[in-house]
Amino acid sequence: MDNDATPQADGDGNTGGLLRDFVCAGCGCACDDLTLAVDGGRITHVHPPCPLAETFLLRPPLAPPAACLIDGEPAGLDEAIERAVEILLAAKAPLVMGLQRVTCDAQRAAVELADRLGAVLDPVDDSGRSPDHTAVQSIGAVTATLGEVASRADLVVYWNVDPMVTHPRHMERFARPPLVARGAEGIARRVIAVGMRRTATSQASDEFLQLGAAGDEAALTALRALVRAVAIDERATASQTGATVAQWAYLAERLKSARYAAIFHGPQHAEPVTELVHDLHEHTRAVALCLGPPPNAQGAVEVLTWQTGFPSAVDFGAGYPQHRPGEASAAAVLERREADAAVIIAVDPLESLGGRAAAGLRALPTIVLDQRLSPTAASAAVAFFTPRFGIETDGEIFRSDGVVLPLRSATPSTLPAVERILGQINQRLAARRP
Amino acid sequence: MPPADLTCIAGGAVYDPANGVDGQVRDLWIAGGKIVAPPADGSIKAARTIDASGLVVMPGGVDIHCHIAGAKPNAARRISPESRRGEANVLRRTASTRSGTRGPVPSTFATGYLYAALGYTAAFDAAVAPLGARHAHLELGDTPCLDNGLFVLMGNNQYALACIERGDRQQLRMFVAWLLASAKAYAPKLVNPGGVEAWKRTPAARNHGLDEPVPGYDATPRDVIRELVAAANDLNLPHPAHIHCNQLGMPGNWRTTLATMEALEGHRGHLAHVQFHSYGGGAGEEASLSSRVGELAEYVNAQKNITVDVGQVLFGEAMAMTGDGAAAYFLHKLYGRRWYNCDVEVEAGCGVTPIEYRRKSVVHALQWAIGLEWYLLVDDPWQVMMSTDHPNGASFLAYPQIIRLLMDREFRRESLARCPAAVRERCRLGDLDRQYTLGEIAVITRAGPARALGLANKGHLGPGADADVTIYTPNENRQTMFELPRLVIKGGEIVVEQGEIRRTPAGATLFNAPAYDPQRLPHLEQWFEKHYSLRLSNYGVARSTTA
Repeated sequence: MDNDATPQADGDGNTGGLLRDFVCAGCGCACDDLTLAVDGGRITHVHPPCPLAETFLLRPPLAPPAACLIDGEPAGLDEAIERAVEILLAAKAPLVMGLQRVTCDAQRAAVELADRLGAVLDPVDDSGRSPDHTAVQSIGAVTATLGEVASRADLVVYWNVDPMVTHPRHMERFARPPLVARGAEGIARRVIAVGMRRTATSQASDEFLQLGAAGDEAALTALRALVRAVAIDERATASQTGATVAQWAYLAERLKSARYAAIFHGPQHAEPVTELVHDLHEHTRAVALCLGPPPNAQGAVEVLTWQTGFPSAVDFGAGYPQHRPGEASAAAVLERREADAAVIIAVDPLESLGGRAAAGLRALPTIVLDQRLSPTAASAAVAFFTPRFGIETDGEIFRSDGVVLPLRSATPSTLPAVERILGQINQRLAARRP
Repeated sequence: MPPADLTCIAGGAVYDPANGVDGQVRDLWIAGGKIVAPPADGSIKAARTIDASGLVVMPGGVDIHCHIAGAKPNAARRISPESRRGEANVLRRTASTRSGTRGPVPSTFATGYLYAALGYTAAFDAAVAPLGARHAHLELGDTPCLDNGLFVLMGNNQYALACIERGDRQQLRMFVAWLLASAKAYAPKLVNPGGVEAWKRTPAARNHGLDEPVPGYDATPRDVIRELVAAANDLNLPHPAHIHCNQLGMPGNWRTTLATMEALEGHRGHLAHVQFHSYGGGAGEEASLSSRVGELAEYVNAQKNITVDVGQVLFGEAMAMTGDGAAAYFLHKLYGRRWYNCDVEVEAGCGVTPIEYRRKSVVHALQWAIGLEWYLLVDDPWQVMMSTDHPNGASFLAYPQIIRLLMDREFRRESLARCPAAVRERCRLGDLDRQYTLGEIAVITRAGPARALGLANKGHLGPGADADVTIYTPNENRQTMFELPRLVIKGGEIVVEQGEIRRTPAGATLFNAPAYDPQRLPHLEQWFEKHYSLRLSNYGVARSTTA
């Protein structure tokens, strides 16, 4: 019998009708319980309601000026691929960047391209910056899948993050459902928000603990000391953290006495929060989860790591992968004008980076793959317009906790997928320069 | 007309223990990627002849237990960037191969090439949470040259635990079948049954024995083992149960291992990395560690239903990587190195931490000796299999060194003599004179694992077998001989020639999807929607990513 998962579609395939259990790539929650109404090749309704999913999925279809542009002029796919191949064959130090808002297959093809070219490869976020992996590289991570938190964590702490705005269904899905893990049923979960100001998240939490401006690091240090029963200076702590030692002692006690504590934090606090979680293991189970960037940023980390051993800033120039964080980040390479061509995938660094990096980029022949005519695409030597990620794409994406979900197109696209374009470039390069 | 691709490997000394061939000089015929019978008409010539005279011919190696794909290996890569720096730790890109990095956990392409260059043509990842199966399949898709498969974790699965607690054997059987099919997995795996659920409740959970109830459940680990093994045997799975026993690495754990063997109740079962589970000594007293392989091997010798792989330790850097979250936490506390943990909802745990095995350490040297004792004290080589539990005890690249230790007792004695004196007092290795033959090496590295896995077309060279063949240049130093095969053939194609990768075929991912009664699904579906953070329809692995 066929046990394969299949999307349940009513009506006219994916041009009309209802799509159930649709995976939303709008934020790191990657909610996979959406029902979409599709009419005339457009998504018309999203359920359950989520402002972010609606913004992400109900955007009117983009109308790229053509399937491809060469020097800003409409061109056919074959011609554009040929031009891209010529640029890359002439390049001695190309840069491949972007690749977060694409499927894993596209990421796999991009790493293959960088390997073949001896390029510098760096996934960058929407701001054009290379994410920092220092915490996991220096101390590791103590984490869980989101369902483990939902079913087991009797204490959830939101550390200076505001998921009600950035991940609208996060609390509803992972912090508020009843605990269902055996032995935890019926236990009341407590949600504590720690932050510098009252937010929608603090309103929706059971308790709020106010931090002073820039009090994060000091507060986490204080918490660690309290968990380890190390004496701390009351006055200094109060002035550095914006809250009294008694308040931090209360939170430390809550964490220690929880059966299973989960702390959600921003990427900049991965290291101190993980250290706190280490300390908590003298008392109880605890986990730390980054309230992550949207799909498929984690996919870029995973694909790069399995193919090269490194998560970012990989330099293939020597014929093998070398990890040079900082040095081989896309922005640094552009600022220092070390690249002589760039392949830019699903990101708009000309707009987001600015300054010397953008100036460096402007000086290069670029090959851009994107779903819209961004400033970067508009100034590209070759621009390929690709299906809209999360709406017109099929493949896999990583949720922020590492769970891989199947992405299915809700509406059809006539444009070739990123992995197909990169695959054809790879094939032609292999034939010309084995 | 003979087939256009008819190939003859001529004149080699063939070791094909499954077919009773032990070094006799034979011609081996290949067509269509399979071993075929020699042409009846003696005048038929092969389209291609490979001269193997003076060489040793064996089936391709089959690794029954390693960790090469998915969330755990990738977490290990992420936490150890420094282990992949420097010329010795990289693979350069060539016209036919991708670049990569080595270290204790090589990148995926490198893993495929390194296994192939070692003469291996199949490898099975031994511990994947079903929820992580889609990720693991993606990595296998980027691991060339190896046929492969996944064992999926079931021994702490909350749905399975609830079925066992209720005594609902029919539902459990359906669930095992459904889970294998959903994850596109080859076999069920039990890791520290019940003990991972305990770890999710307390950091102190490490010593969960077989007869304490699983926390929150009216069932013991012994019940979990007995019932899951029985269900898997009922389903006639080719490899019914792959078991990582409770209390890994703990002094005194041999009794639990023996109890686990008894809990199989005569059913077929495989105990993984049994070296880590054969320790005498007092609970919690590292210094009292001793070998109890003698007692356990004696039991295995009397029980043909049981197979084991060793999980050999070798001295140097390794990476502890396990579904046994509690064990990884213990090692992190012991050595203070980086630690990765991920608790997987409903199903499993996951722990990773680097470890260095030092010859000077009595405990580590004992672990090394205890592994060797397993190879030497199990009488029937079909019951004991080569593994380092890669990368836990050492890399799979250490297999040739293990072969030399087994085939050359002088080399073994010299190695033991360099270990702390206490080691010789706490194990019997110094008294063991047995030396493996080439035929026995062929059993423990390919024929035996293939048979234990129920792979009818692998691990042998009879007609119908996959044409996966490794040809070695004999050398008195068996490590040298096995480190650098002369030729490695996969599916009839030469993939490696004297260490050089020639072709990089995609491997096939093998899985089992036994039939089950679909009327039993609704109960599972309702439970699933309440306990998982994703929808059931997004759970099953729908496509093969190996292409």
